[in-house]
Amino acid sequence: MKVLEVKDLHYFYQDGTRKRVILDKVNADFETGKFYSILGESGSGKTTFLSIISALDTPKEGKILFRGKDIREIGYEKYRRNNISIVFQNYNLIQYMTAMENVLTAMEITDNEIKGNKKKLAYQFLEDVEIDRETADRRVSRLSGGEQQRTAIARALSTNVDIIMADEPTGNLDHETSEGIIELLIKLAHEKNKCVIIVTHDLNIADKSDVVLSLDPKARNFIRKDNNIVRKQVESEFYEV
Amino acid sequence: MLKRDFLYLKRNTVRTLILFIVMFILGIFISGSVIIRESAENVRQRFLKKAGASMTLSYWLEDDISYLYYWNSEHRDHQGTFNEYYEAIQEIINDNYVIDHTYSLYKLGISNCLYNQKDILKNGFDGLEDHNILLFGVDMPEFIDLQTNDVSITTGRSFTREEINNGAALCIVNENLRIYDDNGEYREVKIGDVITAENVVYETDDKGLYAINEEKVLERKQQQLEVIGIFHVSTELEKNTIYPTVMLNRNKIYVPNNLILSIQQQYDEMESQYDFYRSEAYGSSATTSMGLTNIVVQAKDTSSLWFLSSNINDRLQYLNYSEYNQLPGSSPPANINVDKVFFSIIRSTDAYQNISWVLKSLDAFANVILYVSVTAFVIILSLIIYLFLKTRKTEIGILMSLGTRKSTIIAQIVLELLLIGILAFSSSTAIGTFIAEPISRHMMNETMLTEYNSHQTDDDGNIINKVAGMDEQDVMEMYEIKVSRPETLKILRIETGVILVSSAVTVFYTTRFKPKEVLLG
Ligand SMILES: Nc1ncnc2c1ncn2[C@@H]1O[C@H](COP(=O)(O)OP(=O)(O)O)[C@@H](O)[C@H]1O
Ligand SMILES: [Mg+2]
Repeated sequence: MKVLEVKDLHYFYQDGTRKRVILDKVNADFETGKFYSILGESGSGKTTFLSIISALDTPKEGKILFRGKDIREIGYEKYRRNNISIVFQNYNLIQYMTAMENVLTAMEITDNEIKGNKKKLAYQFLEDVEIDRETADRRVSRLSGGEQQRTAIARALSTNVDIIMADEPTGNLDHETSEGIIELLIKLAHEKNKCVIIVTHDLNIADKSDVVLSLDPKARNFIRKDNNIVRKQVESEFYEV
Repeated sequence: MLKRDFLYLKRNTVRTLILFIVMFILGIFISGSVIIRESAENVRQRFLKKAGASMTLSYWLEDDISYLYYWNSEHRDHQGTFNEYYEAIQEIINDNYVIDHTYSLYKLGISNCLYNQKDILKNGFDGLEDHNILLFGVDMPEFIDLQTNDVSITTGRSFTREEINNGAALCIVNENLRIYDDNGEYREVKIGDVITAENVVYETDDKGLYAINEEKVLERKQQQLEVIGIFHVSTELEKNTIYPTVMLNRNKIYVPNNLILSIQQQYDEMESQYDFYRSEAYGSSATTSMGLTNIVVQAKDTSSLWFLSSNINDRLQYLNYSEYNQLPGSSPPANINVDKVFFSIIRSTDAYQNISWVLKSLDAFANVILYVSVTAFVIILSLIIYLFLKTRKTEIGILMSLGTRKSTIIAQIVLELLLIGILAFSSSTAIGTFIAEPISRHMMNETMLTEYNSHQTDDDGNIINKVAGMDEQDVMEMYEIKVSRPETLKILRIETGVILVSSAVTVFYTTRFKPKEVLLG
């Protein structure tokens, strides 16, 4: 089911008097139950794209529709509160809180209905990402990177939203831990029917995606590819450089 | 939100402690200065209440002034000047604004007669240091000297209201007075004794002066006085005060004012039969005339007091030489002290102006502390809050990415500050009171010693402001530090105000906050 549409998205950074166009008339659709990769080399504008679809920034032109409704009309704060979750490269957890408290905080902020005891549920969400109770009660500053990122994913899950966005979620993690995190995210898409959009420059991750959106820095737009041919396409581009 | 606040404060103890200490110190400054201000205001109100709306009119006759009258070609004598003043006073005290008044008429001449002519009196008396015994009139049973405890009646009683109104021929005398009784025995006075005062008219020479060696009595009339009370002098008036030196408590024979009036009338009638030659310098002798002490007038309220006193001043100011000096074509004789004040009004509120200076300086001190500390703390607190916010930018960003409203974030941070504030201010108010007390008391004492007292004395160092009846100790007693509910609320309002104003930096920081750069950077 289509949950998110990007329509004629235009974005530029103002460098003094010069405009540096990053995204030029970008269109894309996102559905639930699918795992998306936004692929592109460093500086191609992946994070910029994510910041706009997560309403941490606003487009210069064009619009983002959530279930057919412009997120500007929904209200950016409300959209972030009730419709999406974001997972960051550097986890972004509240340091003085425990893992459980971080999850609980998100549950307290959202307007979405959460049935049952929130604290119990928070522990449950953490358990789902393989964080036991003892770890859940530790302050996040004393958790490993992988544990922190799993806490962040538990937080993203806890608010009962359809879309989970992640910006290089494995960027700070070693290979093995990364694999686990990606497996987790894929499971969310396929088993919990979430729409998972991750930004990455890692071809292996892209390889596991249902849909790859490759950002072309020259076109400042996506070269949309079917999952089967993306690797070749990307590789050929890679060789050209 | 509150839960998250507590969590933050509990888990970030160092920051909480820093804020607590800053707010605690702020609280001490604010509560201290507010308390000093309020206490000064308390003293002001208590002083006005205690001082009341009374005034003392004083007018003292000296030979100088009758000379001046003569010189001013008005040909009014000493007694004439007095009569004029007495008339004016009668009008004043019958004013609607006056609720009570008291004064004493006194007569000196008759006492001279009593002493000097004892051989021709049935009961002459002796036994006091100064022989200038005077008849001293009173107009209420509990007369001023009794009220001030300067004298106390040891045997017998005071006059009744009725005896005072009727001018009964009764008297209260000093315990040290000695008389010759009917049997020629020299002894102490007892209740029921009858002593005799006498009016005597002497012949004068062609310069209006009495013969020194051989006084020739033209006529004499006697007044019998029954002793109903005997008094003891507890406090003697200091010499050199505004009163004539002869008017010592120990020399007084208290009688009703109205009796003095009738004795004086008797004398005036006697004297009017003789055509005295009046010298240039003197009218009839001052010693044969009636005098009037300070008049204490109790006005309805403070504004009545001001109205009354300015009326009286307009009317009687001419009694002072300086006024005469203003008359066209006249200048006073060289031997007369023109600057000397013969008539004066002292209001109970005059003393207030002196104390008000003390209170004002205290108030100003407290205000400076208040304003300076409020300003300083707004700056300090804003800076600390800003620094703390900067280190909390990830947290703020996370809350925003989770969709928290900016207003909620601001409220949360302000609430945190207020929570610390509640703790800090409740403890600092108690300590502020504790500190304000000795500081303000010390300040008040210092200013009082230099200012209040200097305004209370005349050029010769004499105490002139007895009317308010309050010295610096009395004022100090009115000074009391107390923290009442409205004051506490005021302190809390200011402190909350400081926190809220300092929190503006939070609003500023949060509304301009760009979560993207913090979170995705
Ligand atoms: N705030 C900014 N102001 C100006 N230029 C920026 C800003 N943020 C990113 N850029 C530039 O925009 C381009 C895209 O950045 P970004 O979206 O972070 O790329 P990616 O995430 O693909 O590495 C880069 O060239 C980057 O230097
Ligand atoms: Mg990036």
